[in-house]
Amino acid sequence: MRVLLVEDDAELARQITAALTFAGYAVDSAADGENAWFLGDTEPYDAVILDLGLPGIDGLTILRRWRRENRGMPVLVLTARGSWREKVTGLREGADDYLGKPFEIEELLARIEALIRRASGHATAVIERAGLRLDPAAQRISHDGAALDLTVLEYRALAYLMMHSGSVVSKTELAEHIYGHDDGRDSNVIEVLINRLRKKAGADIIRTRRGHGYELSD
Amino acid sequence: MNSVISETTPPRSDRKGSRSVTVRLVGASLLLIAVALLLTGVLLIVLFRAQMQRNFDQTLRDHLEELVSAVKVGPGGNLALTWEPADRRFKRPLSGWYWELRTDGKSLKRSPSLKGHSIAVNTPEKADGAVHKFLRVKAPDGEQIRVVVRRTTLSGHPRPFAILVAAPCITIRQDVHMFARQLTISLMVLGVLLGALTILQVGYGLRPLRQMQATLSHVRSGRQPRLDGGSAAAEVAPLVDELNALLSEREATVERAHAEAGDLAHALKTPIAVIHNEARGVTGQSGEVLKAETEKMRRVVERHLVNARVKAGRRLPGTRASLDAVLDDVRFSMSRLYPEHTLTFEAPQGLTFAGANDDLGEMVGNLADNACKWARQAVVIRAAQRDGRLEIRVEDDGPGLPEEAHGQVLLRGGRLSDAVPGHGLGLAIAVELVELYSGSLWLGRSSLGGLSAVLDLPAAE
Repeated sequence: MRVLLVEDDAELARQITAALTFAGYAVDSAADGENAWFLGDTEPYDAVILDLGLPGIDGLTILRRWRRENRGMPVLVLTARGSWREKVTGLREGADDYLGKPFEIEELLARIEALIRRASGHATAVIERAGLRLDPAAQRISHDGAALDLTVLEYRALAYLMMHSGSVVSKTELAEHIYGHDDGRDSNVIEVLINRLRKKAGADIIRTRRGHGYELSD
Repeated sequence: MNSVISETTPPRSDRKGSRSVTVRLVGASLLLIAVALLLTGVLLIVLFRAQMQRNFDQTLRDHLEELVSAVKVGPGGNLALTWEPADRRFKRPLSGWYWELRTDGKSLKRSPSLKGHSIAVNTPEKADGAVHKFLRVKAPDGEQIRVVVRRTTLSGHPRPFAILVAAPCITIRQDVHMFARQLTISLMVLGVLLGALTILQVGYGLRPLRQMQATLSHVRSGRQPRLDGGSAAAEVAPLVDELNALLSEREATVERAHAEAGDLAHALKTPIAVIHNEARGVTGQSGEVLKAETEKMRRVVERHLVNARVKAGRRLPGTRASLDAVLDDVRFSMSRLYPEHTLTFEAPQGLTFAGANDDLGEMVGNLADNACKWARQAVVIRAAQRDGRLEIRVEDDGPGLPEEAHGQVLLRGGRLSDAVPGHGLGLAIAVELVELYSGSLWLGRSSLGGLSAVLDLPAAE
């Protein structure tokens, strides 16, 4: 799962990035409006954390532009000004959730997780597919009751496939959602990753659609 | 706490020393009317007396001419009257109406009313036929009379003769007095009428000012945002424009205060968030102290933000908010934040709150947000308006609150959070605003099973 964090306060950005990374997300960070808008417009994020008070273009304007260009990723607005008027304005501009500063990191993580889950069409906190059980809050995937021992990348890849079960996920798409912007991307690595997952979770768990990508077995 | 918008009359300025425009206008007009009527009366009396005197003199002359033409040379060559005036006044003794025929300085014939006296006027020297007039001659009875004399010569007779005719001055005086009395009554009636009309006219003329006062009080009570400059009188229009400019300036000041409060919040909240998060890595008592202190800072900032915003806006004239718009925002926001919940609204259209739209949104929005946060499935928002109060009830089917937290929430925002764990900031802001608007917030058990929060707020007229 890949998240864009837009926050101009360097210290707060560092803290949130650390917490998100620890929770298993690939995090890209932007400290100003221009950069944030560009990243959100060009990269496929599973969620965006957007601070409203930004140097350059302000948060609301960025959000409005993304939505106008049909960027539909879930956006959690982060603001110091948490007034009702601002909240309504943010939501009407297309924000999916709202969190006032200061906040508990756990609350932020819970909301991001709920946003991603909701965006992929899952109503419950725990997702069960193909005999696998994904608990995003605990960052754990279990197979027939036994927790799988996964690396961060393996977890991200399998969680993404589970969230998008029923559709074929290409190598590029998978890479885009498990790596951060600055990480090196190699589609061969994806193949290695899938093979490792098959070994850990069962060989027939992930099907390969040649020339298209991967798909979770039913 | 004072109410947000004072429903009472504004504090009256000390009016002992101030002068009423009505009194000034009416007083000046009444004085002018009185002077004008007095002058008119005097002038009319003077003219009337002159006219009366002219008429009187004409009557005397007529009698004089009659008598002159009645003088004939009688048998024996003496002058004699062929007839005497028939007017009974010349016969009544000492009536003031007299006539006399003189020749050679001797009285030849006189009216019976003279009773043998003579008219106390000397015969003119020349017998040229000219009429001489004598005013205020003393009559035999001591009264004043007016006398006309003509000395002339009859053709065929060598001696000139003189005719004197007299009438009492008192006749003119009496007529003038009667005229003056009637005139005085008429003018007084006229004066009263004019005075009454003046008062009406001043009232009519000052009506734009009263209308402006009425609309200004409407602005103050929030029924209209600005004074209507289009329909104001030309003299009042600049005042209306100035007042509107003043209102705009006040609103701008409040907006600036909001913006500055927001800046302050932004400036403080981010560092507080950083310290708070950093404290999580600090183990032991230091970490606890840091967390507790940042929590205190957070609450202080929050409370002062709310205070600043509400206090800045609460005396702003013309604030009223439509509940419909706020509920629409709530419906939209909650459907976005809690898509899995069912929100039900039971509120008639057109309910209004006597205060700022954003504050109503803050109260209802926070209560709705809180309800959704704790609800399992259903949240119901009901609203009703009666007796100048707006009642908004937010209920959920969540776990609710322990009994001891029920009742009217009178605590300051910070202390509420302690009594109501987990219902923290949102409710705290709502309570803060409720208090500033002289409203009340009741917490209780909902029939849905969860919390029932009842807001009681002033409704706009």
